[in-house]
Amino acid sequence: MPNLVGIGNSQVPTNAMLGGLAYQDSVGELYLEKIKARTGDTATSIFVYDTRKDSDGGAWRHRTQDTTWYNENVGQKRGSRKEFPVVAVIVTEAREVTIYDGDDPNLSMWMIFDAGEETNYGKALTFWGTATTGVVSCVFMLNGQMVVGHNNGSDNGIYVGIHEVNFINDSMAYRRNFSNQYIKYSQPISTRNEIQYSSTSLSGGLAGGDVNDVSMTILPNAPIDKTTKLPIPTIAAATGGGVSVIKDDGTVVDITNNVVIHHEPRSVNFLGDRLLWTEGNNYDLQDRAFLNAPIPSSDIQLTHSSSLPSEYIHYGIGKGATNVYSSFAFNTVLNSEYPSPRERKFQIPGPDDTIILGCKHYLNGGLEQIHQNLNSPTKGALNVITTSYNTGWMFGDCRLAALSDTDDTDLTGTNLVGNGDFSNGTTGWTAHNAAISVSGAILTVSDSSNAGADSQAYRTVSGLTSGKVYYVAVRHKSNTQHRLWISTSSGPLSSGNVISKTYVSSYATSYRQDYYTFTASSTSVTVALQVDGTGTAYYDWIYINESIDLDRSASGQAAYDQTINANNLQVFGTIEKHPVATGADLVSYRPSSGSLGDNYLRLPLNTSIFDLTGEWSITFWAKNNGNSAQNYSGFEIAPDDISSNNGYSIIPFSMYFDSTGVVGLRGMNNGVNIDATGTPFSHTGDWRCVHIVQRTSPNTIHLYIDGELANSRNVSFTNPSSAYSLYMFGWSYSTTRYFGRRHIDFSLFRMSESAPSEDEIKKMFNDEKSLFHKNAKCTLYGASDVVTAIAYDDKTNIVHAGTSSGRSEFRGLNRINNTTTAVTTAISASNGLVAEQ
Amino acid sequence: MTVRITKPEFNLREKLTELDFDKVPFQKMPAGSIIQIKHAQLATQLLLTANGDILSTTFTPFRASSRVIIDIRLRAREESGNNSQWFVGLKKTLNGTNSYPGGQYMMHSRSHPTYSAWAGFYQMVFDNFGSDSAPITYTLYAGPWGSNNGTTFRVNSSTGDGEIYGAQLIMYEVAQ
Repeated sequence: MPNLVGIGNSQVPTNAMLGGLAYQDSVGELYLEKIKARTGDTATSIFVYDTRKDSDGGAWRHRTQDTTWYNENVGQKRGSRKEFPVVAVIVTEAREVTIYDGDDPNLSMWMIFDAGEETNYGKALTFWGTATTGVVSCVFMLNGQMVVGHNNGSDNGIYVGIHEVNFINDSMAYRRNFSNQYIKYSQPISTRNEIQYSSTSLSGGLAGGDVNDVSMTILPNAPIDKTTKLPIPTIAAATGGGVSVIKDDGTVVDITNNVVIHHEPRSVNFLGDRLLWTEGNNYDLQDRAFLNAPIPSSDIQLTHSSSLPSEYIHYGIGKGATNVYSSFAFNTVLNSEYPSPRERKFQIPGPDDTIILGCKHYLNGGLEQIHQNLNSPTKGALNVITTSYNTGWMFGDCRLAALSDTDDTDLTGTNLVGNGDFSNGTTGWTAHNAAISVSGAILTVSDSSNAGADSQAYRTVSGLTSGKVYYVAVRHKSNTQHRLWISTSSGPLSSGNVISKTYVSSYATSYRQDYYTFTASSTSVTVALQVDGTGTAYYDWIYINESIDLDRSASGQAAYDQTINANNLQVFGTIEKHPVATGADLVSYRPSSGSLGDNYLRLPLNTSIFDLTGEWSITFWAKNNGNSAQNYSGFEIAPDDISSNNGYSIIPFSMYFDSTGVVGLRGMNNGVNIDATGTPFSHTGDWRCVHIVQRTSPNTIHLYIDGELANSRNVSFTNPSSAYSLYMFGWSYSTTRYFGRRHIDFSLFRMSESAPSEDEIKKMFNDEKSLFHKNAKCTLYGASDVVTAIAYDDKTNIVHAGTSSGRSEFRGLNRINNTTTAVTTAISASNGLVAEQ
Repeated sequence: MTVRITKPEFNLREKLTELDFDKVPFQKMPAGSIIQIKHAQLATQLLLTANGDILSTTFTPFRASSRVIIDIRLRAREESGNNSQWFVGLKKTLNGTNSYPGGQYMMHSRSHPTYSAWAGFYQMVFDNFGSDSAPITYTLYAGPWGSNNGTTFRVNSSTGDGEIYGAQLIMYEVAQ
């Protein structure tokens, strides 16, 4: 039986020939297979050039038939395809630039340029220098024009610079760091790998020779090149002597610094029509200033350690690092400076005028996103993502960003005072001129017969680290004067050279809690709990513990000395952590179900940390977790000594959540009192975003829930006149503290000395809500925080961050995908095509 | 070392269907294209005797990289006719911060001592969005120049004269 029936063009196959295909209704979905290609290059940089992003959408590719490169023969350095690819992958190696055909799933070679530094006449992309150490460092391409940077490094790069290759008008040129060193070759691109003898020297050199990075853009009002018929790109080059901008009118302007050793430009890009660049020491790797500014109209020299011109925006490095300009919008968090060695912190433009930073430091690595506020730069927002936490947006002058971890191991405060809660009787405590006993986990220190001076229970506390900050908390009462002494001397004590506090007899009516801080000068101290004269003092517990570094803001623990902690959160008892949703990375925090009043967090404050008198904001997410409510939950900024408190008479700020879902603010002797309408927290399991914003002119407190204003009231705040703290998971009324309340989970708790606008509040809510969904991922994939490369795909709106664990893909604050192959050098991405090494 | 290049597979039918768009996606429009227009106009009578807003509207750009052309059209009258002087300006409010993309005093007018007349003011302002695609409120405002207070600045005439829309703001978002 024949396979075909009919004659000539009318022939059709038989069902027998077609097999199963004969019985299909129609042609199914057609999928173009994914591209998965490899090259054997050792790349110094990679650039995915998508001609669809050119001013004419890449139409120039179809009018280059008259160029020399189009008509070039196939060879070792020229592929078979004549027209320029729609998508090209440009890979630079030390001494070669290869353009691959990104339209070909096999990524065939399309064109090769020899490059590098020579000691004689060079080819088109080689420099005639004094050595052969100059190598290709970077590449960019736009509107048919490729710019390639070289870096020498051994002689300040005076003989290297950038090359420009224009595929539309078939021309090549280079620029070095002398004013007359804009050299146009006379020969076309087909001669690129031949010695170039003929050229024309013009003005238009660079600020320096060693080129670290190049970038290009088309600015509004760019003139049309009469040879290419396209707008002329503006080119920026980060050189060893400063940033040079080759403007679309052909002039070159430089941004330099009077102390170049601390201000070598590292990376350069465009953020809209602004220039975006980093600067660092020219003797190490660190990027230490993150800048953006309008393109200057003429050369400008900035001054080391001084303020910047208007319209210049500078982000510094927080956590104790020294900034190289005195004016900055705010500090970033990830310290690439300390501990040694200093490392790169890459900077690129991201979506919606967000700036993306990738820190390569071995200890403080991670990904940062700055949402820039151009009109008011100090009111931008910063997000930090590592393998273990995601801060959400930290707005403006952020002073605390806590409860943002992804590890669900419970937090436990370790009490260095053995048997400090007297749960084991008087074990470990020694009586001196007093009778001591324990009943119901209360220590009684009694001197009924005035047995002698310094009637006390004392014990040694060891395990301290000299130089570290420790918190002390003591809960006590007596109708007799009594004391707390902590000393570096051995017991019994007659004074306290570390802590010495005397409590008057009026502190008898109920237990009071007092909090202190000291910096250890030795590895052990002695603690004495005393009663003066004839009488009895009662002690519920005494804590000495180290703070836990939960603060992820730039104000948090300095990275300069990892052995010295800063003003961080003190954990009392146990705080449970649970994923915010099934399969989600981010965790929430709630007190343990154990002893009610013993599980809470405390952060000592002062006016330099958090000043209530100006504008400020507190932002967090909360949910009713379904546990039976023990009265109210919430948090407060309250004096450590509330013995004179009546209602909220000395408590400036308190927030409460009641058992029915009502939420409201209290404080300032009832001046703050407002509630949200209804019962926003009545439904179990619903995460809600809360912003508490104090604005000035007029002084008004605002309560927002899920980005919408829930209530407001005119009120002016004053700071407590005595030592005060933030207390979480509880509240105080009159002289009673109701701590350890656990029917509300908290997450992403932030305090800022800046007040966001309503639009910024909505943005924070909208961006962050995706972190609280089921299966929401929000960290760098894997175990390594060392970000080796970053890229932004503006077509898919995806930020790529590479580490040794693979490449994480982020949209907004969420990780939406990842690979598992290590990224070591570079990433470039466009419209879903990703090239990486 | 290895350079890896990846791109996910995609559905060709979906891509072809996408190309048969009913409306051109604004992301596909070339530089110079107008991708959004918004306008606001004042229909009611407005009388100012001190600094005050004439007209305001909020505009949310599609793209942070766009530019906006604000076409300002104002027909107003200083009624006192005593050499009083008024200014007009355009205020931009972004994330709670005010700026003045056309200058704070774009127009300076002076009435005739004997006659009053409707002054026409037509200005175009070319503005950046301010590195943000958040909503922007543009407000046309007026106020007495210096100490020349106590006069009346009128937009639109008395009820029944049929003179309306004396103040207009037209915003064009232009792709870059």
